Amino acid sequence: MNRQPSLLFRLFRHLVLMSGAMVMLMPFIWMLLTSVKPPDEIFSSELTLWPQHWYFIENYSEALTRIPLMKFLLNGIVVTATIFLCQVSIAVPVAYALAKMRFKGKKTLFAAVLFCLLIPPQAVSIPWYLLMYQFGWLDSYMALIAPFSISVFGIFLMRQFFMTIPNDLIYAARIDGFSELAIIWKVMLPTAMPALVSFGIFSIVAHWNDYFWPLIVLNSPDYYTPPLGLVNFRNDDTGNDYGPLMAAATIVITPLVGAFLLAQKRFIEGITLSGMK
Amino acid sequence: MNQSLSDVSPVLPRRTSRWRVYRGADQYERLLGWFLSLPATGLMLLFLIGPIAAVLLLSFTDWQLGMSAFEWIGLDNYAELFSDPTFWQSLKNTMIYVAIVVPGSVFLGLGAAMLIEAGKQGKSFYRAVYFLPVMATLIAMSIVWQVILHPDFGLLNLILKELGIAGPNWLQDSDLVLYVLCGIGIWQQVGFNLVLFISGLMSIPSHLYEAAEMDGASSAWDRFRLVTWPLLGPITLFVVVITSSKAFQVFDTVQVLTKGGPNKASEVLLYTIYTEAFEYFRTSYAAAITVVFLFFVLLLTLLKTRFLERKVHYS
Amino acid sequence: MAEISIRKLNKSFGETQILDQIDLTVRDGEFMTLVGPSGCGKSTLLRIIAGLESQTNGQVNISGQPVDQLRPKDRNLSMVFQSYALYPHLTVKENIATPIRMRSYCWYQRLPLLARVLPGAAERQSGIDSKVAAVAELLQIEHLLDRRPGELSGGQRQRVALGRAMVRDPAAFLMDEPLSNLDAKLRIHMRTEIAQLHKQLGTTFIYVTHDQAEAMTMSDRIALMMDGELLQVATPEEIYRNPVDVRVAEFIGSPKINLLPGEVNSAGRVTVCGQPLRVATQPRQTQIRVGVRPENATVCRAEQGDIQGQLIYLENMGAEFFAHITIDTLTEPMLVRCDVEQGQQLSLGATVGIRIKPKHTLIFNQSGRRVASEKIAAEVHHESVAV
Repeated sequence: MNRQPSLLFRLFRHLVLMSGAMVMLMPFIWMLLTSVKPPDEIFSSELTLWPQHWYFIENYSEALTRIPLMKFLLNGIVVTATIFLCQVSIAVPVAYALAKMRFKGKKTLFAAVLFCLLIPPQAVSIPWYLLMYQFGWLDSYMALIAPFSISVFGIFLMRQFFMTIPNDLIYAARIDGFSELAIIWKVMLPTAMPALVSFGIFSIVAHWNDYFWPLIVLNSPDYYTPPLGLVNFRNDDTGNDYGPLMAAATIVITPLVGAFLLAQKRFIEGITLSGMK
Repeated sequence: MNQSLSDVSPVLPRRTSRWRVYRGADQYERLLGWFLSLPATGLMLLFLIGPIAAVLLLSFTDWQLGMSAFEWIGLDNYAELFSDPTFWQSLKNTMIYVAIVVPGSVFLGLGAAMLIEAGKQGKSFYRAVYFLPVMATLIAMSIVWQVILHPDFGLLNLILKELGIAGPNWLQDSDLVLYVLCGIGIWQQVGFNLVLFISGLMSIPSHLYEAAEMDGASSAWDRFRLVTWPLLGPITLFVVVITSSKAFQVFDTVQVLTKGGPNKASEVLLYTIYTEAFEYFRTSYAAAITVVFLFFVLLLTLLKTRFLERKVHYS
Repeated sequence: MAEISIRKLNKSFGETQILDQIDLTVRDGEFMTLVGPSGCGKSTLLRIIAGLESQTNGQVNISGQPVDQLRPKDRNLSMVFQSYALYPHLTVKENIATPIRMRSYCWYQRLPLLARVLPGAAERQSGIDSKVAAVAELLQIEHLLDRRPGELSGGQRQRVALGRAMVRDPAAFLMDEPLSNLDAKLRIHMRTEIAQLHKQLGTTFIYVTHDQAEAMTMSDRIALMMDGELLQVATPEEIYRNPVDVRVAEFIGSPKINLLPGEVNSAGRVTVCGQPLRVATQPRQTQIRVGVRPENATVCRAEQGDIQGQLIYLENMGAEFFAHITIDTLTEPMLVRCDVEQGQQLSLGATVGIRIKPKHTLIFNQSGRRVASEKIAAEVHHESVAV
């Protein structure tokens, strides 16, 4: 396998991969192009790739003013960040206990975690909805955040990582005078940074892109997350105005796609983690 | 040396503060274990284990949102379900979707992964490009697809027009719509599978290829049959199961692009659950469909768990 | 500095007894080594002393005070671990400073930002810095202070772990196989260094190892454990010469002691392989074992030996030879030390005699306990002669 492949094969490889890449990129390119075209060029029955008139400012300012897109983005940030913080602060202590403590019921608890890993969130959406209704949380941030405050996947992942940290480190910390909570947050967590970063990416991507649950519990646009806001924009009477719509879509995917392009390796690790489930 | 250190702490052991009773490390660990597990256990019961039980129980009642009382009606919901053509349509569509998206995205992912790994230039570029659809918000991209698939002004039909073909109305044609959704599903899933395959390919030790060549496997196909495919076997099974479980959960594209139409041609399980539960509020009936949905997903995930256990034995 | 005493200590997990009635007093300033094969309970005992595990019953006293109700950090002990257990995200300097930071600051003084603006922060920090610097100087790791553990070699990590233990002048140092992750050469070097450190500090050391050579070379006294039981506590000299149990005799010493099956006749004379030795003990015992260390026997002409055998292998150690001699009735060959001169003259396959020095012969009864024995005055005197 060390010898150089033939020129013909190298050409063939690039040809095939390039055409695949074009298909992959095509929607992104078309989205960007459409977002800077004026309506008459979008709704023309002639195929024109490059815009003749740049309509960049018009479309993007339209996207930002017609709907409160900034507000939606802010909602998205607040919700994903809060979910992640809750998940970490609840999952890390129990993961530490499952990995390093001896207590009665530990095996049962871990079996329950493994069982819960099998449950897709959509399957429990009806009871979740009833719970939110009972608590009076429908149509609020609470409804978006509360059901995801527990991540059994996070528990499982952190537990697996903590298992690899030697007990001696915990013993040393106890002798040095760390309290148990300080051991968790100041010794275990910094040591488990790589796992935490991967989990963070996984969690943030999953909830930034989530559509099913926000669709169910939200009514008022005040709490809309970006996907919901976008669909709502499309469903508006004026939603057939594709220029601003594509501008809005571009704005919504930019934060994650941008972060991905900056830290590809980390992101790919984080997303493929869901495969471990 | 000793002098400089002696003022740090008293030589004698200090007392633990009086109000905290300490009875040795074992009991401390036990109590601490419980204490640390408490929040997670509570939330797990509230949001996962309880709800799963609730879905199961609900499916045997006639309860609907807003009702103050309910009755146990046994399997009536299921009987209704199995005589409902919409349900069968929905199940059939989901199966077709899975049967197309899984092989499509797995083989394209494998092929692209092998091509990417077969050369040197552009590896990370291709990987990033193919992975991009996995990252991008599917809802936003669905709307982009809608624009591309527009019958009159969409990119696809404009290209077809240049070629002299009159393109169909992709999303309104009940014979086509499901396959269009499958195409989008494959487009979105390929990159994910590709990345898993690349990591599988990289974990094949290169000396195995050298050994294969020494043993006379000279053509690329021989090497693939002898080394790549058998060693990629476990990860392929793994990818197939993940992709199937994801395909079963298809919802976003359907809800945004077709709403199950036209004529329920793109109705899928999760979308049926959504409409029954949250548009018609037929809660217990939706719970029964959820149980069916859960049955398929759990079947797949159990397969995967069984497989993972085996993999642990290998390593 | 402190005396540590352990009274009637038991530890069990369900049915399994890990530690069985341990009584041990470590004197103030003593270097005590807990030695035994892996799984004998020595590390568990150390962790119980540290408070990291709790005993099923029994008591641990430090300086005469019971500490069973105290948390690990309140027992004022330092510990060095086999895996060093350095905090991977902290620099060497921060690692060493941690024990004093945790003890001399209360919680709000340890807050990340607030700590710097609180009154007295600067003096506290400089106090810590000077202590860390003193320890670093003693261990010659000043040049490593700003690195992280991941960038250090095994030996350097070992020193940092020692530094973290030393920095706060504890009542005693507990060391759990601190050298077993080092390569052979460095391990031997560090033995000397830790022994010297003990002399310098004068603090009580409790040192756990499975390596009898470490125990012999470093300790003031050795406590030998096996199967959760404390078999013997004695100085290295004593434990080598006068093991109370056959398991102690087997464990201590390299190469291993020779154990020959024997009997005692009615007159109290010990016979091995049907040959009488010049050793007497309590009469009428069967199935005794006779322990002879390789250096307490000599190779001689066949007819002059106490027992005879065939030379099957000669191990040349440079400064000495070990002769492996098979004896007809025994399954294992006997090991005898010879000096270089004699060793060079021996030829493989020859039948040789073995003379056993009666004064250093150890007799163990059926249950493995040592029984008293004495030399019988020689009837015939003959020199051992090279074959």
